[in-house]
Parts: sequence; structure tokens; C-alpha cells
Amino acid sequence: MRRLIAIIIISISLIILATFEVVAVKKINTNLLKDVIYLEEITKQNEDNIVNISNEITQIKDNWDNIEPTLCLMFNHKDLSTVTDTLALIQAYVFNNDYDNAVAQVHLLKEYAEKNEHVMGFNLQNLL
Amino acid sequence: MTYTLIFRSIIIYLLVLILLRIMGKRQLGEMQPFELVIMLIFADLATIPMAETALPLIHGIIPILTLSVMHYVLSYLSRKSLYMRKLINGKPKIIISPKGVEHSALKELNLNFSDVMEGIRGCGYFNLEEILYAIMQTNGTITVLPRSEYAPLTAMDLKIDKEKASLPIIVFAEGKILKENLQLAKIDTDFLNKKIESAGFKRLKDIMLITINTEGKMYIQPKDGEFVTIETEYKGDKNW
Repeated sequence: MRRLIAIIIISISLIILATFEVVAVKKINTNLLKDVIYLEEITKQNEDNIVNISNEITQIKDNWDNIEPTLCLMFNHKDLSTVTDTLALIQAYVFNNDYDNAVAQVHLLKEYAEKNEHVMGFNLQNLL
Repeated sequence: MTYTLIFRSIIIYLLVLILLRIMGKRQLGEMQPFELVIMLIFADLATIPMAETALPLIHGIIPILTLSVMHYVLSYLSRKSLYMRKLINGKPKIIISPKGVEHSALKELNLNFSDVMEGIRGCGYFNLEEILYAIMQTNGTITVLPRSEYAPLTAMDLKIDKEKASLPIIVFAEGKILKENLQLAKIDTDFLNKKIESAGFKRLKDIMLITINTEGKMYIQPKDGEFVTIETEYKGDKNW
């Protein structure tokens, strides 16, 4: 009987954890993608003086830095650090008013954000 | 990083230990095929997140927990349904019958004659004609029923009375009195002290192990020197 109870507890915990993960990943990735699209727009709008978007990029990086430790509990740290590194690069280029490199990194970040949902989500490709 | 590795190893070790306790005890040779598969995967899953710190520990924990649940479900099904038992565990196969070695069974089991000979030698028989039946069990062991003329003699065959078998219980081991067993045997520390004195030992400290069986026979193993057995007036309550 004790064994059955242990197995039921394990099963319920697994289901809760998996569901929580699916919901959390969806939410986090949607927010990240939204931020990146916004970043892409304001980068284009401020082509002449990209330093203007310093506050926005800092805000996006802070948001990511806040959720990254939670994601580290569930996902490979190396996958997550690519997003962190790219955000740090964009921030550096923005501060130095380097539009070309900043725009290239924003594109790269958009690619990561789109890929993340696929890599972290529950889908046939990951299943097989 | 070292602390991380130490704690990860401890967590995984404790988790696997607890899960193995939940799954029940089985020796390697007694495992059913599905149990062996789970053990092999367990070993692999446990080591990857233990050493790879970039991977969250949960990447090892979740598959291990999932396999434990699967193991329980398969064990339950094979316990409750005869059909499922056959499907999951397979069924025992007769490899030697009164007619001799069953060639088709060997072929089906992918066994050769060396394997069969090895199996029957493991059961204490060296000639095929001594065997009436040999069965390949689902856990991969071979069991043998010898022809009656080659079967070992028993006390019943010889119609002789043997001393009754009696199970000893440990009441003192490695410097500690096992109170639970003492209660089970319905004896106390005074009884133990008196008996070791009568056996020629001064104190319990000099003793490594004491057992008593249901017939009152006490085995005393001192830390130094030979063991002593004494008959006590205690005849046991046959509580165990």
C-alpha cells in the first residue's frame, strides 16, 4: 500500500511539474518574442542614434536576467546563455551607437526566441 | 563547482536508493527482462546530470521517476493479469524433456548446447541422461528436475528422524543488544549475561555475536577465539 501511495505521489508530481513547465515556457517565450519584436521596431526607428534605446534594451535584459534562473532549473544552461550573451552584445552595441552590429544581433536574438519555443516545448519533433 | 558535484551526486544517489527500495529487492540474476532494462537505463540516466553541471538535475530526476512509475505499472500488470505476465515476462520454456534436448526450444531461445550444459552443471548435474526436465525460466536461469534414480536422497527416502530445523535469531551483535529481537525471543539482558558467564566469558564486551534458536541453542562468537555453542533451558516461544 505504501508503495502504491509513493507511486501515486510521484505520478501526480510528474504531471504537475510537466504541466507547469509547458505553461511557464509558453508564457516566457511569448514575452521574450514580444520584447524582441518591440526591440526590432525601435532599433529601426532609431537608426540615426541608437543610443536612444538604451533604457529599453536595459529593461529587456533585466527582464531576461530575472527569469533565467528559473529556466535554469528546467533547461540546459548552455542554451539559455546564448540568449543572455546576445542580449549583452546588443546592449554593448547600443551603448556604443553601433547600429549595424546591434541590428544583426537583434535578428539573431529573434531567431533564438523563435527557436526556443520549439526546442523547449512539447512537440512531435522533440518527442521523436 | 566541486560542491555542486558533491550535492548533485548525493541527491541522485539518495533518489535512486529510495526508488530501488520502492521498486523492491531483486538480485541481478532474478530480474525479469523489463527490470533489467530499467536498471541499465537507470545507471546511465543517473550519471549524466550528476557530472554535467550545465544540465539541470531535473533532466536526470524526471526520467528516473518516470521509469519507476513504469516499472510499478508493469509489475502490477504482470501480477494481476496472466496474459500481461506472458507478454511482459515471457513464459518458462522446457529445454530438456524426457525425450531429450528440445532443439526447437533452443532455437527459439537462441541458446546453444554449451549454454544448456553450463546451466545444468550449475544445478549440479553433468550428464544429460540424469535430467528429466530442464526449464529455462523467464529470468534467464535454468532449473532442473532430475530423473528419480539420480535425485539426491532425502531423510524421508531413508525414513530417518532428523533434528528439527530451527531458525536462529541474533540477540547481540557488534557490541549492541538487539532489543527488538530480545523481546521477540522473550529473554532479557540478565539471561544473556548469565549464559555468557556460564560459557566462560566475563563480559558482553568480549563478545561479537550471540544468536539463539527456537530450541534454545545459543551460539556465542567472541571477538578473539573460537565460537561456543551452549544448550540453554530456554525452549523458545517459537515466535519467529
